[in-house]
Amino acid sequence: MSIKAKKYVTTIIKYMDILTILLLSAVLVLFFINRNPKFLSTSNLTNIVQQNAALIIVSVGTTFVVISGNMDLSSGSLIVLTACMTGVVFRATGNIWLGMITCIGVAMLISTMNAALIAYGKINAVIITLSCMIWARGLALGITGSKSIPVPSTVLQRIYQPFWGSFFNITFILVVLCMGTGWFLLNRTKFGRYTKAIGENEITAQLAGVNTKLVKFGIFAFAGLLTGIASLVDLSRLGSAVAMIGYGMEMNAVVAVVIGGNKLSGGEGSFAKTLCGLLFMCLLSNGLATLNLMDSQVYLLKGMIILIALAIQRGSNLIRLRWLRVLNEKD
Amino acid sequence: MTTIRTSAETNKEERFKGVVETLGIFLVAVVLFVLFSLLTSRFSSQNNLFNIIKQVSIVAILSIGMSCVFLIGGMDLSMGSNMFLSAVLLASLLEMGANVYIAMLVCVIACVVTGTLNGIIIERLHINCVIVTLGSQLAIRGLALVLIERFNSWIYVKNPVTRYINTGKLAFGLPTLFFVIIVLYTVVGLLLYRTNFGKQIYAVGGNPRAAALCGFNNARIKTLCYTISGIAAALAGIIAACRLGMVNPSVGSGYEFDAVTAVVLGGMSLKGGEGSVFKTLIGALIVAMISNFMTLYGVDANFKDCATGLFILLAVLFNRFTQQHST
Amino acid sequence: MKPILEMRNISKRFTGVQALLDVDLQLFAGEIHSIIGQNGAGKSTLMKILSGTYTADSGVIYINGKQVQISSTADSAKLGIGIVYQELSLLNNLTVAENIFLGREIVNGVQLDNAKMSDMARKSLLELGIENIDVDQNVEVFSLAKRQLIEIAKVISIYPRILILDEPTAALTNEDTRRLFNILFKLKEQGICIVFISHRLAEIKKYCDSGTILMNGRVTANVRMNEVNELQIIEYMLEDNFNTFHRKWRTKQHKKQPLLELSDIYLHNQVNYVSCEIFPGEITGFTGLLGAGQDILWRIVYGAQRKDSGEIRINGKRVRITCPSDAVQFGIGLLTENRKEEGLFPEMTCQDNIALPSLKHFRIRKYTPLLHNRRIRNSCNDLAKRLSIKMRSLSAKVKLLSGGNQQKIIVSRWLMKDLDILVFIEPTRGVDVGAKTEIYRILESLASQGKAIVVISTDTTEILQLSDRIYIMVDGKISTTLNEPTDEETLARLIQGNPEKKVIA
Repeated sequence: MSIKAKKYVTTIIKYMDILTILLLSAVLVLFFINRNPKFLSTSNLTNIVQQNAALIIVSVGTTFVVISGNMDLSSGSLIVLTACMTGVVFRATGNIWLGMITCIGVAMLISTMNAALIAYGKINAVIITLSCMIWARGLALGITGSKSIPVPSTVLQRIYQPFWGSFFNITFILVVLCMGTGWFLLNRTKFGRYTKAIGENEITAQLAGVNTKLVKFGIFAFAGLLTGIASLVDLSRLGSAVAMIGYGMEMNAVVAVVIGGNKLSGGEGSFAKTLCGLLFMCLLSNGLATLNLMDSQVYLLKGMIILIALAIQRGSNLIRLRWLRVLNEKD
Repeated sequence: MTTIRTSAETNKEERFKGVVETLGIFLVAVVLFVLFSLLTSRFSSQNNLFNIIKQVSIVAILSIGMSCVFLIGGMDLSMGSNMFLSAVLLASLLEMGANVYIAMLVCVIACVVTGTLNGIIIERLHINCVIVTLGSQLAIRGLALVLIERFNSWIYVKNPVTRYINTGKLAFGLPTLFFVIIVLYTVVGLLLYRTNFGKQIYAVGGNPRAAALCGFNNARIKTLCYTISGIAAALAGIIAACRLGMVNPSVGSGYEFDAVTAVVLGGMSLKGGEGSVFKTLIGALIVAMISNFMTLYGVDANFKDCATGLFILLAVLFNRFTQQHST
Repeated sequence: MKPILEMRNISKRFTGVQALLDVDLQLFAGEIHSIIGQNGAGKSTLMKILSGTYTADSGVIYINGKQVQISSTADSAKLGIGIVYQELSLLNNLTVAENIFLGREIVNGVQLDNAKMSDMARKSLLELGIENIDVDQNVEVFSLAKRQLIEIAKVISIYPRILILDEPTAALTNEDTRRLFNILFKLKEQGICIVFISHRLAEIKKYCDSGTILMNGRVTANVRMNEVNELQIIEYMLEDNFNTFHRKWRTKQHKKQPLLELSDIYLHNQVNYVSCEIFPGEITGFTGLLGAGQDILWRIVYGAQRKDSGEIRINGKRVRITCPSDAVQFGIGLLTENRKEEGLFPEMTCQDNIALPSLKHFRIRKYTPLLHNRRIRNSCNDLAKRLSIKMRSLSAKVKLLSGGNQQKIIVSRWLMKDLDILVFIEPTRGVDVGAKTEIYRILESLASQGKAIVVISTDTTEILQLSDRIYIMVDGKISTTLNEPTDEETLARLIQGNPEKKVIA
């Protein structure tokens, strides 16, 4: 094999996970465009980004959590809890700024509590965030009595209202900002580097002088902050704190991150992969919604497509690893 | 130096240690029972105790499956959906006039299939169990919903056998469900502690590499644990349908978390290879008592969820605390 | 000249084993000093005391004449001691530069100064004379030899005064070793003291300036390399009289059928077309330097490691072994050196640990899945008595036993299964002296009962004491087959791989 061809092959193998998920997304697009010619219209694409803004923001935090080899199942419930808290505070005081501070504050408080238990209490992250997922949703629905609380605040609405063209709003800015911050933190700061190090091998990282507990704490606290922002974004879009807000968010976020090719066992990961995973998940949700199916059929299809995509991604990863080994052996 | 002391003497010693370990969670159960009885007089009435037994039955049976999966270091979050699928199948088959026993058999077979599929995806493809079962949770619930929508999302379960399972009394004036739990836990206890397969489950969960070098087929053993989890979910679904007398789309949702609570309360960790299924039963009893007490006390259903979540947290902290002391 | 580092009267005791006794060590700047000794002589314990992983029970350490306390790895780093570990401590998912600067990144405000770090990493690699390593590539793409160099660069970049290398050449080819030493010579010229640990005497003789030889936790000699030859070093390494257990070299019964035959077993870069025969009633020893392929060969036979080609025959019939359960079916049992990770089920009872693979023979009735507990306990008790396993009871957790007893538990596991071929990788590692002899006796008696025993060990004394026939492996090949007893010096020399291939018969 010539050097040029080899370089070409190596690059393809290196990015095979991303290519796989992009290919799967393309299949989805082809399918949905067949059913609904307007699927790729600008308005629908805008719609996809706006509707999934909260998911994208949450996924930024989840990416960090997954790269560090952990899992966070609490984000969806934290969103509904903080949204309801905001609603309650606004109803009581009429001050939306107070409500927004509550929103972010509560999200950060609870997630730092989780973070402390995980990092300093050395308890499995799955169990801790699973319990949080259950109690936070229960608490949210309890304090609101399962009724929706309208939050008619112009300040809050401004987050969602476009102020330039039909697309450009604060939500969009927040999405870009969160993504950018996440990318910067992961690739350009000590925090991000230590996150990768912990995910690969916590003990080695510790031996190299990394304060692994503090980094873990920081990761979950950061995820909490993002969850708070996502909550505000969704609250602004829906106009009221409803029970279904943030439902299944944690699962969508983790699945998006993993389906994009980030390793759930930690160490490997990038925002490019997360973005591709998000693309797939957003296309899937939106596409299924445009098919005018019953809820049940959406559940069934979504679950099965996710499982199949996970299996395909896994298979392509196995092939990728084998090829990498072959290439390395030749050296 | 004597190589082995008389086995009777040492066995007693070991058993005593085991009893002390079990006592921790048992004490919690007793304290809660006394506390609840003092708070509401209705709690300890015979009627309510029977009620608790009936209520615990679903979680207790689910916990059997969850225990097996925890023992191999996994987790099955699709149990609630599996349970729903089983309940829907039973109700719709009865509605269509099928024999009740055949209907139950179909339920079990369906969940064996879904459970085994979970296991195959997790163990043969090596994908994380949480992700897979979250995905299959969605898919299975969707499947069952498609089915129940044929019946306008609400099916009554009216059958002498199902009624007997709910209200019947088999012997000594105790509810049938009491005996169902006893029988199932005896079976799973024998399976785990008195058969080759049970020992292999503990071995594979405790040290997978050593198990593979012993010549065990790790993937098959682990997959079978997910099958057991499917069977447990099927049985729980059947009992749920009998207890409620109807099936609607909310059946079984969130029940997997109750099972996780019971298992974690019973002292199992996500590492696998450790723990006792009988402690899980006590864990399930605690979950049922708390839920029953809150209903009696008039607590909103949503706050009950909240309490479940907090209770998992407490259980984990409790375990962590006691484990640190024991080693 | 004054020593840069001096250790005086260092002693360390682990439960039941005196690892080090009154060890003195002097290191001088600008020297390559080697620590020589057999497995278990105390080399790594000594280095772990220097690195702060262990603390000595008694003894003092001076650096530049000042007494110092080393109680953690951070302490030793502060004192200028850098260690390149046997298991590499690089993170595969990070680039070379990122690895070199992990934990002490250069920042520009909050932002990492990647360009500067890459530059410095490149420079420090160049200083070492290492070329063609792209510092912006992930570590995982590099070969083991290159990773070794990266690891050294990482340690060097904190400017240590003393650099310790623990078995750096075990996995390297001769060419790579030569390059490694070219780098070490450069460091030596800069006045860094280098401590080199290796089993390969040829390398030590060729490249090192001085050496300290350890035997059973004691220093037997301090040598200058230009004053001694390899044979003298071997003499210092070996015990004068190893009469604790001495095995009669059995007279061969001729015309015996081999039980197990291997032919042309091959695995890329690891095992090079190995053929051999294993006879029942004999103990066959496999020895070689660390990484010569003897343990991988037997993992292949057991199905725990895939092979590229080769054939396995049992009783003359060709068999396919693709996983350990196949091997067990054909009557092969393997005991590895990692008892904790690959042998024991620490949370389970002794009885379960013994009986696990044979449980299906203890059913109450043929088609009943339930097990007959009393029968299991009885036969476990029998085995425990036979091997004199010391335990509180059969229902005690196995993690509470000592190393020797744990090893016996695993032996009894395969005895209960009644296998014909038992393969022991390093059967006495981490086992105290008393239990060692006991395990030897067990192996001996098993062989006399007609089982085929294979012992794989890097400990030449052990191999000589036990074996009826010895295969010596060098670089993945069987270099020599010994059918008759020999003395330890010859064996030690053969393992080093210098003499021409021959069969002493």
